[in-house]
Amino acid sequence: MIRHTAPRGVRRAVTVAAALAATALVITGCTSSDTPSDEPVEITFWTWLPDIQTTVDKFEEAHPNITVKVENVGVGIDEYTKIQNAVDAGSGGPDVAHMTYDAIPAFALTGALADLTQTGGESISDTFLPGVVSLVQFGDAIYGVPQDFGPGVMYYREDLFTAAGVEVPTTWDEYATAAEQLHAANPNAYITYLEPGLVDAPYMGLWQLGAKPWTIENGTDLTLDLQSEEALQWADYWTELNNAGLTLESVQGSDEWFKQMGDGQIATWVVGAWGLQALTGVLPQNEGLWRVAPQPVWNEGDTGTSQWGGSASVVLAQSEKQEAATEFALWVNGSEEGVASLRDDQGLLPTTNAVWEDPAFIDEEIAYLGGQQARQIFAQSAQDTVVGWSWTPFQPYIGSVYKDTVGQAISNKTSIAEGFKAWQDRIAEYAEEQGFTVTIAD
Amino acid sequence: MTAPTALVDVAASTRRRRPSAKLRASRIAYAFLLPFIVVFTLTIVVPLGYALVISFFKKQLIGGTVFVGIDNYVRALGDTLLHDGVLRVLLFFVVQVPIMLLIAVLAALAIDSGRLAGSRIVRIGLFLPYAVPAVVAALMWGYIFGGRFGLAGQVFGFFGVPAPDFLGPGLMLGSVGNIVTWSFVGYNMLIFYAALRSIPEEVYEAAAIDGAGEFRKAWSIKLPALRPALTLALIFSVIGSLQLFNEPSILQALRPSVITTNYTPNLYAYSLSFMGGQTNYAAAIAVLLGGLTVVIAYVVQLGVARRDRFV
Repeated sequence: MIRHTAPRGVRRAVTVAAALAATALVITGCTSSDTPSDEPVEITFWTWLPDIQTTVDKFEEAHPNITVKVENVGVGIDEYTKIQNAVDAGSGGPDVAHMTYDAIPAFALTGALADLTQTGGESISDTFLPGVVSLVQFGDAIYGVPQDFGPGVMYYREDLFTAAGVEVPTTWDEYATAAEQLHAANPNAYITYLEPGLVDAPYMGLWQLGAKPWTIENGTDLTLDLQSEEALQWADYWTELNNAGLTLESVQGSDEWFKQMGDGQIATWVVGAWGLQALTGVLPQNEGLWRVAPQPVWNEGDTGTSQWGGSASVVLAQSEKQEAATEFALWVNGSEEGVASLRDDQGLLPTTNAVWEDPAFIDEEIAYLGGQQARQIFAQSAQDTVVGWSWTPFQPYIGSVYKDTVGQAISNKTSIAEGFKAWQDRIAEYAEEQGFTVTIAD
Repeated sequence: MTAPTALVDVAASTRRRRPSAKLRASRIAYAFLLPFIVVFTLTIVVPLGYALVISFFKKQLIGGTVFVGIDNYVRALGDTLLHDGVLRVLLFFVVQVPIMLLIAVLAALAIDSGRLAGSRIVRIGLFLPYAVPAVVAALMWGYIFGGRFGLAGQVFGFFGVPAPDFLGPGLMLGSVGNIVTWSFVGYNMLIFYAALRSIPEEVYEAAAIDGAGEFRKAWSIKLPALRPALTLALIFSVIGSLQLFNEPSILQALRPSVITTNYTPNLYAYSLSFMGGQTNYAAAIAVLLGGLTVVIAYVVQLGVARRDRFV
């Protein structure tokens, strides 16, 4: 099944290309019957990973017929705006783009992304972790090759817990108790921080609780449920800690926040596993002080975790080189060599089944975490991710008005549940404006 | 015999040449203007026209783009989030601009008086902040004002008093005003200083003969002479205040719950467009804001002109 034709019948290097393709197929477990054309193609790749050229060079070495032009057009929403502009204009976009999971539905549902099961990516669901594949799969179509992900874990300052003689919490109840004990033992220490603008915190919390704050049916019917039992459970829990003065208001990633983390003012950080990169990168002086534990659960015996962050490589529907683009995305994120480069050159947490079955990877002792075999905890979290969380096609908007509503409640130490209500109202207003039929669940 | 013919010839040729010379002159003028016209059209006229056109449409996730007439404008007039932002920048204008212009006038008078030691250094020193990009300025001041480890916190800590929360809901607008004042005092001072330098020396000599001192000269000669410059500076400030964006946008990262998405009209339009994909509505807001700016600038000019008549 050859979808692209090789018009000038160039056959010189066909054997080489076929051999390479065979290798690639074996490595990725790809079952595509596409014969890669040996005609030189150039694809454009938009990403904001700073050192990606190293990985791209390795790809080009293995694929002499494909040249990859890397362009950094901005991080997150900046890139998405440019992609949206290109989609509106009908051309001008990249062939492959880096996209966080929360942004994919908006582009997938409006037809901006290529269905990779039609362009050589049939193997994706077998190659990658099921919990991650579910973030790029809509119906039978797959709109991205998973690149990295953020299984939820809890990083904590072992020195603070030891000094205060406090047990490391495994449930949220224990976490609240630990919050009191830690702060009582050391008035400068807080169990964690709350950020009025950080929408990822409730995303992660609601995901773990199995909440469905937004559900879209038939493509146009939106049901909002930010007053569900689960949503209120999360809201009231944090209202209580916040009002008791057991949390610190801070902005994650700011200089001040890193200072608080480094100084031992913040005792835990519940975050995607990638948090380790931030800690090692910005707080090298803290080596040996931090440890990782599973994300706390609501009830003793629960195992469900949630995720925070992570990206896929998507192929644009307007690309005229979708096969080459898919081949590139599959190699970078799924081949043994590509995955090794993601891990070692990019510092990312790969998402293939193969790598998470590899003892050398899972059992590696992480010096920064005092020699803990941290990836075992990551792997467990990856397996235990609660299934069923979904994103809307207008997630950036939902995130942007969080600070206007819930953020106010956090800063003013008022009811976060009330903040959720205000948040829901803003989302409903917006969705109606966008043509959705909105129902507020009761 | 030959002379009249020659005269006629000359007359004829000048008659012929005059319009062609004029034409050539205007052609040359247009040739010189062309780069400006091209850039002006591409960067001002076309985007303005585009904003105006798209402001009459509405793009929805469901239903695509449809023509909606003045719906976006009607919505903007009833949008309380937008009103909050507009009132905030008007308050900013009423408080910050007089302070900034007063400092700038005093500085210009001081430098112009010729009695200031090292006036050149003062002039450059005052102007220097204007050369600092707004983003850098906001970052820098954000650090200075930053609660627990900022410079302000350290200074207050030295005296054993807790620093007020400069970036809190109560003081944020004042802090933004402080940054803008710091950035633009030098710029306005330069406008005023240039106006003062253009006063002919003879006027001062006459005043000196009449026995006027420095303060009298400042009050009766310099301040009236500053009026056109003041109008100009005021109009720039109207635009600057209503378009307030950079400083709050940077500080938003430090205090997300204080600088909400609708903190200033421009910030609101930006959020609508880039976070919500509501480019059409944002364009309508931009057009309205532009209109409001023109109206206020016109009122300012009228006000100053009317006072001129009474002088």
